[in-house]
Amino acid sequence: MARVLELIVSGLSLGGIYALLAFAMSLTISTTRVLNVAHGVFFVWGGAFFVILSQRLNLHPALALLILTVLFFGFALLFEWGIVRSLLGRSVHLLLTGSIMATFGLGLSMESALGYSWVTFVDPYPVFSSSLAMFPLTLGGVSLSGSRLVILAFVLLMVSGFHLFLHKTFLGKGARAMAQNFDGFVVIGLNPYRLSMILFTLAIVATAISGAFYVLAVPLNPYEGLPLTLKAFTVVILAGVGNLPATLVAGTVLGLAEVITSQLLGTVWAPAVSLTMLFLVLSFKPTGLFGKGVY
Amino acid sequence: MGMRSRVLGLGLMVVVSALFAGSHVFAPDARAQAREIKIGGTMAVTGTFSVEWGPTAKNFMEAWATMMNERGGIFVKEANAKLPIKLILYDDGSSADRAVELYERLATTDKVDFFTGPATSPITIKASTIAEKYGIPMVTAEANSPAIFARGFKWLVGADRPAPQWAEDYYAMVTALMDAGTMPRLKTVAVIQENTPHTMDVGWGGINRANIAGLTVVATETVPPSATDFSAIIGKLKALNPDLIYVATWAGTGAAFAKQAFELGLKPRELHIPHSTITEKYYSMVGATIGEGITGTTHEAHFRKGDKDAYFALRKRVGLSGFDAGWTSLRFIALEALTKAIERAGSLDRARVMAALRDLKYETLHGQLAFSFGAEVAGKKVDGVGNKVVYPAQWQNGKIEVIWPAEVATAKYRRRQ
Repeated sequence: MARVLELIVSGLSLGGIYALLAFAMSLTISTTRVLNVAHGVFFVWGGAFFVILSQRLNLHPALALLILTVLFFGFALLFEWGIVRSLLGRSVHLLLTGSIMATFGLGLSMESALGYSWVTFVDPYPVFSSSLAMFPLTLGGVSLSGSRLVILAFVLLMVSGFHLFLHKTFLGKGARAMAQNFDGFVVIGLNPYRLSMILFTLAIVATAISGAFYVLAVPLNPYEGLPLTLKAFTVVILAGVGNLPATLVAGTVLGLAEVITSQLLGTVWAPAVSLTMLFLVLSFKPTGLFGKGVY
Repeated sequence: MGMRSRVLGLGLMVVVSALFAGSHVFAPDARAQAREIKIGGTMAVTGTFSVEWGPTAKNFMEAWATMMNERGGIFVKEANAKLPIKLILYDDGSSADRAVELYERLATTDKVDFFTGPATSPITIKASTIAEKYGIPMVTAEANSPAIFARGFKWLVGADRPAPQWAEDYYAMVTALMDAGTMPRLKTVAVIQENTPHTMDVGWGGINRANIAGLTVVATETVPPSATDFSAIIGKLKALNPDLIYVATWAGTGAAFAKQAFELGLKPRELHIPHSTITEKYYSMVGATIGEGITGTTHEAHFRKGDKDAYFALRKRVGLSGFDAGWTSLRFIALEALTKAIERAGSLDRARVMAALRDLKYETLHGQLAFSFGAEVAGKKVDGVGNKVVYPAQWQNGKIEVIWPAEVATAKYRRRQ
């Protein structure tokens, strides 16, 4: 029983991170129809910058997170202005293909830039990991990883924050309206450009902070961003675009499936889980397991 | 065209051909006239393997070349002179494919006389094909996977002993310490192996030589290269509760495992991560709480044989202290072996140098070095493997200490807290 509980916490923390990644991606796809392939790369960059700030510059982790937020706020504005803005207003087909091509190129460039800069200026070993070791929390014979519990708490906080944003704020309601009916949103005189800027900023900053929390438990390397995008994309497809509760469930399912696969078949099979799920869902239920929903 | 013109044309052709042929017949052999010896290789200055090698490895080898040149170079009988060494080293970024490109460049553009091997078996297994393709002797240092030496290659030798044998020294120590009551009586072992050449071979030793210490293998887990998340494996191991966990991974992967094992409450009586005591960087990656007491393997010791003064002077020159950068003795021996072979061949002729390498026997830092041909290791017939000894080591008070055998040990084994 203890072993099962430990596995569930591992799967939930991993799945929670996948869900966060996927939700930020789902939010931007459903509202702007822009598929940001570089999404996972922002996650990796977040982890890398956090390690630089907290370990290389010895800043307090809270201060490091604050600086990280400001930094990625700037990156997100640049991203929106440089790539997204030029694509908005085109046909859905052009928007999708254009955004895939542009952000794929951006993602590759960002990966190479990070890999090169890290080994040249920071450390020849291109892996970002936290040396902060947290003691396990032992409850009735069950040892739970401190860092994974921190990640789990962060995921719950972020999900609650997203939920409140979408349901209780004017901007959040606007995002839902834009996802439901883009043309109607424009017809009533609302500005999709301004909202897209806000949503991308929110998504990228949340993704970067998620990366910072992730490296507390699991190391990252500069070239993991695009595979992580694929995982986020799998969760989005599983859940159906624009479905927050389903995204949470799908992320958790993927995290647990990977952990259980590692446990039963061996770690080497874990990376195949997301691709197999993606293939099965696209083949048999391309609209997602939970259907379309707008948060 | 008249007869006269034909005769003139034919005569001109004969003269030109004779001049062209003469330039080859009478030109002195370029190598015999060489005024320097070009040795080329690549190094994992950056990338995954830089945790253990990195810029220090390049600095160490360049310092070796400088030291040799300060001594006047290598005596080559054919040239009747000591020739200076020109060492050309490139960063392969820990990529085997990049290393192949660079060795090709060393062979064709830089036109080196000899190769020094890259870091690690995963890189060498590919890079050594270039040595074979161009017939250039390659002396490897750390590459020790039997798979590399089981291909019948003619131009390759390696200084290190085959990886599966690493476990034999460690298990021999475990047996002795258990018999002496210094180490608790261990009964079970779980082996984790990273799916790359060398680490799989070290893992093979961990599994197949466990009987030396009377241990029962209760789990064998293979993880992908550079694996990062071990939570599932750790969960499984907690249920099995092995006395010893033998982690056959590279240092970076081993650091991630040790940290997650600690955070998930996995506490074996003995944690053996062979690559953990090769670099001091490992300790900074995991911190004192986790690092203390982990045992590993090192190539370093307080050597009392061979050209030890030059060796220790070199380490000092590149700022190495203690047993950090545990591959330096291997690098030194590999370069020294090449030097001895050139001297004995008395020539830069590659075939003669390779023949000298095959017959080479001399006293180096750890004792007699000789390359074995036709030996059987882990079920494979291997050629050109060396016999460099490795030593069990342990992290104690933030320092790497050699703990076995007694004649070279700098500290006694301590139980993990």
